[in-house]
Amino acid sequence: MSDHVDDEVLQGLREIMEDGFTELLEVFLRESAAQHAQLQTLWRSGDRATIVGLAHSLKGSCANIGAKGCAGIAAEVEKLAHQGNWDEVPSLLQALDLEMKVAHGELSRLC
Amino acid sequence: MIQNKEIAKMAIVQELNSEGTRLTINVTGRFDFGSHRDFRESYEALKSSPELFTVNLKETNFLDSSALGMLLLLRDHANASSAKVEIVNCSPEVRKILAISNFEQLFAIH
Amino acid sequence: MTRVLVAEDNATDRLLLARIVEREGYDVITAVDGHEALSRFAEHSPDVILLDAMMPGLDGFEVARYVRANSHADYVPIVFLSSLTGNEWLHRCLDAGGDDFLSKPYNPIVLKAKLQALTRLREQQQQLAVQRLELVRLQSHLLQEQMVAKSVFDNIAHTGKLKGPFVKHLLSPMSVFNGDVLLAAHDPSGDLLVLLGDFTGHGLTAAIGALPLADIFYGMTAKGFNVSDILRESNRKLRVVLPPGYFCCVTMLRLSLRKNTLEYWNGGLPAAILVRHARQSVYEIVSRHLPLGILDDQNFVATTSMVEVEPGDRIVLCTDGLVEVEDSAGTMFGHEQLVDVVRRAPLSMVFETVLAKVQKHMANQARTDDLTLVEVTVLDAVDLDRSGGDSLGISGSPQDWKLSYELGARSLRGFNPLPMLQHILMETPQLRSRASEIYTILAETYSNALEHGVMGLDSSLKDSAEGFATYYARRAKALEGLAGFIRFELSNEIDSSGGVLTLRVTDSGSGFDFRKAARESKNQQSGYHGRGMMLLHELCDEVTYEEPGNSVLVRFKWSADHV
Repeated sequence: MSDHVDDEVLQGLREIMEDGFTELLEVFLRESAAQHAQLQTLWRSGDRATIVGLAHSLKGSCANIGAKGCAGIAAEVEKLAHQGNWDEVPSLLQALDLEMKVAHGELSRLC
Repeated sequence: MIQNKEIAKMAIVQELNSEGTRLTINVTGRFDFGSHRDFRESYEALKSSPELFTVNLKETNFLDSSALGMLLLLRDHANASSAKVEIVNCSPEVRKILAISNFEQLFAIH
Repeated sequence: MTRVLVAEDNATDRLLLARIVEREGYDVITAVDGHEALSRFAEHSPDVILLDAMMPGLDGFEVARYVRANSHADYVPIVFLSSLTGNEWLHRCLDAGGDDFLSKPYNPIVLKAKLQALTRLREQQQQLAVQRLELVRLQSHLLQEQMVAKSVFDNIAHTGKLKGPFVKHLLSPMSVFNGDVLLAAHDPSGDLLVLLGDFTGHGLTAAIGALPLADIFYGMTAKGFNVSDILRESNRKLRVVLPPGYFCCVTMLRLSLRKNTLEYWNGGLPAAILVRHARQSVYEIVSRHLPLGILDDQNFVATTSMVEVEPGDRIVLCTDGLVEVEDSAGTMFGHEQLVDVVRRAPLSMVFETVLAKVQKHMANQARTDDLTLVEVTVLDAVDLDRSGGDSLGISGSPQDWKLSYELGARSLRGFNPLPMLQHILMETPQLRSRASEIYTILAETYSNALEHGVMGLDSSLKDSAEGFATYYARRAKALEGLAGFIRFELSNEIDSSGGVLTLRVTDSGSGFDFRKAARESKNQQSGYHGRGMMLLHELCDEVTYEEPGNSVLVRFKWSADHV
């Protein structure tokens, strides 16, 4: 039982995707890494308007794949960004960075 | 439009004054054999005995000899109770036919 | 197979969603953004769309609006995909035309249920669309048929004298067809007959009865039948034609400009109003009878009434649609107000004034009934001729003609040929002023041929009042088993002073002793018969009986200037 990924969700996905399960994980790993990297870039370049949408998108796919830790942090980023409350965003992005690494590690082992 | 039945060719409307002393019989349209029953009923069905019978021919377009017979029937009916019969509002043509039959001697024609 | 379009920019979600949908047995098409969603939509005509609300470029709301705007008849359900929550978002989804929401993480069971529900919705919408199309098609078909029928109807119902200077009218139907019918025509003697009818209901149902009514009215008026005959025949016909519970309220008028009389009958319509030229009074022609189509022939009362009129008098008729027009407060225009308006209106403006008042009363209220207003003006007989009413001109009318008309037993039993023959004779304008005499001649020769010639009835029965009735009872009985024929031979010739009408009536009887009958006729002083032969001799210029006494030839000379 992991705090980072939801085994129950993954079991469900295995049933749904059957042979496609590995492909789904690979797509997620690739896409979420890219989105995460883009988030960091956006923050550094100050393009804050786009942060809400990207965090929202990341939150959704993380939730679908069972990466509950990432989904929770992404949701928090989306919420604060939506409110324009930027003070805590840098620390959240840092936490997301760590959580992504752990989750990716766990999911990569399933491929 | 074809008439399958020999339809009534006239309308008889009678009016009795409130005292019951004068009966006016209005004859509309053609006055001929088809109306003999209505015409007779117009005065025979009365409960009172009028002193004057007025036959109004203002709306009578045509009459034939059976109408003359009916007028005579009315005259005899009236005579039985010493009542008078008058014929009013004849068109010139109708009057001509009445004159031909010498009805001017039998009825007061106005 | 039901086709589902999945439009989602997020690859993970798109892959997962497509797989879930596919597993449920649907055909899946995917799009990675809004623009692709629209092209896929146009290309594949999906049955259901799963649409991510937030996509780069064209977002889900815009895609939904486009789909809604471009598929009127074909309803495509849309499910918004979003992990967004809150009323504002829900509102935006509904506004854009969304039918449902699905939030992340996706739950396959929930999605399955939603897809099933929406597929059903789509099927129902498609059925509705098909039915709606069918309804539209039927409606336009019906309307087209009604327009065709209406032109036929108008040809039959409104071919009368409605355009003359003596009749002003407004017929204002609620639908294509009018439940109100207005008929007007001159009879052979020149009298104007007007019939205003209001059938129960509106539209086509109400108009059905108008056709036979118009047919009877114009046919019988042209043949010279009187108002009571026409009403009686109309009542009989409508009773057969109309479904139970349907009837026709009618006011019928006969305006004789030569005699200055107005004969009337009102069965169920609001009182017609006679406005006296002298301005001292208005006279109300109230309903005293049941509408047409209710009573059987025996109980139907066709008794008419009569008033005298003068040139300049006006008669205002209307159907209850006019009296019952409501204002915004629901108050009816009412008969009292109508009478009041008619009474106060300038004489030459009665029709226009009533119309203006009624329109003012109803303002913008919707009508609930057909509405008809008619004004008939009593003209001078001279004006009527000048106004091109019934031209008495002889050009274009029959002048010199011959006619042979033979009736067999079947015809004689139930058909009275006299109105028809009289009608033919009256087509010759110069004979019209002699209508009464001509009718008497026709009637005498015909009843002689029928009663004595064909039936062999003995007129001496008519010596007594009782016998008079017996005679006609026997006549009726003899009609039933009648055999034989009667032949009319009519001709009209024109000469320098006028013309000669010749009539020969021949019957199938064995003939009668006309010499003896002529002697008796001269001596006849009592009884109620025997005047026919004498009348013929007096009215005609020549009466000749032909051997063996079953044929009579009469000549009737008329002069051109006889009025």
